Amino acid sequence: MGKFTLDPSLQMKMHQYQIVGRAAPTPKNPTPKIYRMRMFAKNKVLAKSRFWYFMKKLNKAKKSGGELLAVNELFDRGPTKVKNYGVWLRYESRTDTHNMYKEFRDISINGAISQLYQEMAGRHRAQAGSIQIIHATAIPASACRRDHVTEMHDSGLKYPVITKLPLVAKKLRTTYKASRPMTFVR
Amino acid sequence: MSMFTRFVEPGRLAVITYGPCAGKVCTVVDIVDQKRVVVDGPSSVTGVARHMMPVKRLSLTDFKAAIPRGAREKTLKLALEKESILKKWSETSWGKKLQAKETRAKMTDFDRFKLMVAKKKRSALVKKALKKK
Repeated sequence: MGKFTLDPSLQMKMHQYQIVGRAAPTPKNPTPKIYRMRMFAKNKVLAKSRFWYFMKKLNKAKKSGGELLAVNELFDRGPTKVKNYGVWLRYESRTDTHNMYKEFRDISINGAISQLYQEMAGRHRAQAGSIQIIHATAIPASACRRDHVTEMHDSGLKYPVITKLPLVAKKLRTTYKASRPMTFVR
Repeated sequence: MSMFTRFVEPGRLAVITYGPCAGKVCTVVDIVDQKRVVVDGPSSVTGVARHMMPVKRLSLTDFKAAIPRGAREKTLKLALEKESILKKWSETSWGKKLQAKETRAKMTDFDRFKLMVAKKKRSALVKKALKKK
């Protein structure tokens, strides 16, 4: 048995980075305040850019007059355990800025954040640039509030597969089929 | 009488129909949501490591191991062995078909040649037996 390779289509596109930085020390202020942020982004470059976006708002520091002390990717513990994630966010709609709390079930925080961006785009037409994640963390089952999450908490949970469309390997897919697919399942 | 006999539930044996693990069997270990579950071979038994998978890519079988939700690999392995589920599975016609498909796909050119020769021999014998009567 060789190394197990996960299907790339199942992998999450978001990554979590820890970025530490500050405004560059000057004779006037030799020890500027250091900030550490957990950023969610598709790659390191975007994460750093987002970090400076927030730094500009927090204090007088931007990329040209600042320095990064550390950029690390953070990885989840227990990537095969299903967890509940609570995400507090702020987003700008067409009319106003709103605060929101959302819950997701996933195996990693990156997956939950990916779901979040999908949902914000789908339900509220909010793109990544207008979403600010305030806080995101795994929460215990007792702290979950949303129905779509709590209904998955039953220890004897089971459900049938009602219909099934055959998934055909991409190179074997055709526009016209000789016979109708069998969608019935027991 | 309920309409369904196979459920997406912890312990349900399933066949993966799509992706890199296509054709392998696995066990549902935990449920993420209505579309996704966590499956485990276990990897030491069927070569499927524990990972999340859409239900769409699974075909459920009649077999179910008695495991709690989110069971560890060790528990799962014991539960599968206790009821000899994988043995029962390999005796079903569905399991046999998958096995045959795998062996056929793994055949080398020489194996295929040997198969051809064996088939020829068999048909010759059949023809001979039929001619006698």
